[in-house]
Amino acid sequence: MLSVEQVTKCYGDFTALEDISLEFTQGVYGLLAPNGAGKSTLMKMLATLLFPTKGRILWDGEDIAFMGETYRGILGYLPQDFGYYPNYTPRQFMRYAAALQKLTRAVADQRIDRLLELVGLSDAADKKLKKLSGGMLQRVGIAVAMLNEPKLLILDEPTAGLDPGERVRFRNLIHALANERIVILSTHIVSDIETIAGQIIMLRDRRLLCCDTPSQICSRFRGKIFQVPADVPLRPHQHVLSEGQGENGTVLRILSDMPPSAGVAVAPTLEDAFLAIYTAGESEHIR
Amino acid sequence: MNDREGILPSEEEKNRAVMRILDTAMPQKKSIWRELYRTVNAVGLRMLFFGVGDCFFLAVLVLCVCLIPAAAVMVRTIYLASCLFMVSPAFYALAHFLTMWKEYQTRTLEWKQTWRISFQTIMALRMLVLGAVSVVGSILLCTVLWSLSGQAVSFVWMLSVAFSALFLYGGGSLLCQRLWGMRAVMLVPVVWIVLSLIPVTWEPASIWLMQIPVYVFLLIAAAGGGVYFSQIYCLVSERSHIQALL
Repeated sequence: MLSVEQVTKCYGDFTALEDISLEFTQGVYGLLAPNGAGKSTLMKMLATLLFPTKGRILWDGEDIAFMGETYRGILGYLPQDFGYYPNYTPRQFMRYAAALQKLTRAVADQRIDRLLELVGLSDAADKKLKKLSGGMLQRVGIAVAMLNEPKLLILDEPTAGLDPGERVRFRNLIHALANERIVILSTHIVSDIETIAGQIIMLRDRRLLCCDTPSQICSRFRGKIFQVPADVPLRPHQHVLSEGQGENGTVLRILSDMPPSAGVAVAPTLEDAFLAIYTAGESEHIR
Repeated sequence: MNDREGILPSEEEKNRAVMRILDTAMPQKKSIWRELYRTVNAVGLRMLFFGVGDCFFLAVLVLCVCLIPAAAVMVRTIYLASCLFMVSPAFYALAHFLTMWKEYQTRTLEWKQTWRISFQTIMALRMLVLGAVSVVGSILLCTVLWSLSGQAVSFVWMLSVAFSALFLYGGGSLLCQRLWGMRAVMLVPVVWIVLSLIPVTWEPASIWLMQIPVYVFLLIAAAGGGVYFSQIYCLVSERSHIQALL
């Protein structure tokens, strides 16, 4: 089990994260927050690339700051915008990563074949990395992060820059990898995690806003989300969350404490909750 | 009984707890040098320089191009010390700069830092290999220059000049890198070139260098070597070192 205990991270006078406490057990966790909310800072602290200014992070009761290689042995990490050597093939790059993960050549070759098949890159195993698409590179990244069969898999904005088809494929892949390990996935795109994450972690104003199941988060907005025609004038305290196309033209999804005239109550989605919290400032509902 | 099984720790958890207590109470002395030796045996030299082979090729190419005109100046005895001082760490400086620059540009540092064999260890091993190659290169350079200059000066004196420059640069660059991070990787070679050019272009300084006795250079080499190895030790053992580079 991974525990984050009252962690604060400061860069000089700037506080990036304040008093964060979390517990992770087996399953997929989605870290959802807008850009600049401190997602990457938290992910980097979990990957021991940064260390807390206050508080501590524990793996099975042991401070990860002092576990060194033992912790890195159970960690799989995919950085946001990761680097690679473009003139090498996925297989060569994975052999290199496997050597630095202290795997023997025989074990490495076996795992590389299995992982490349799992991520659907068996045919591209011997093509140069520079010739692969963004989605394929991201899948190579996942395969590299999985080489040591980690108990903790941390993926920092793994779907950034992927097209919709690749995003779906990626979600399916994460779902397949989630058995018997903790997967922590950061994103600012709600659809990336709403179907695969068992728990959603939200950060706001450098603090932890909530850590709950998607349905629990949505339920807090039940009876407050309405769909209204786009031409209906809105009252104060009614916030537009999004717009879409209905049978009779453009419709708005709004957040309102009282049912609006000509409005139809709709079931809140995680995207509604996200927009309500981060654009309409309705974090009171979630606390 | 079943309830008790749920509450009591498993055998694995008990063993881990005992190991943790023992580790805390009686920490094992870890030899970083033995650890580095084991790593290089396990990983192999090729993997140490994976992805940065082109940097060495480029470093050798640049050195060959620069050494041809430099050799013409070096055979004049008066400039021997100043030129040796500038050229001895050249391969080390160029190769180190180019590999670090490439790692930085390809954005692989962050990722490598989370693998079991940390990037600090890889960097330390690369520094040691580069240092060893540079020592051999300096001996060869001194031998060639000694022959070309008609054995005008002592071979040991030439070696002491070359080694003092090499270890001073190696130790200094690692120390600056530890203090100032990636900025130092770029700045130190430039500062070294500027400082080395003073005696090359200003004759009185060159003459002064030629008069420094061998034991002074040997002392500088020993001090530089001390700083170099202590910084390698810090590089492997301090987690803050790499954070400056990220």
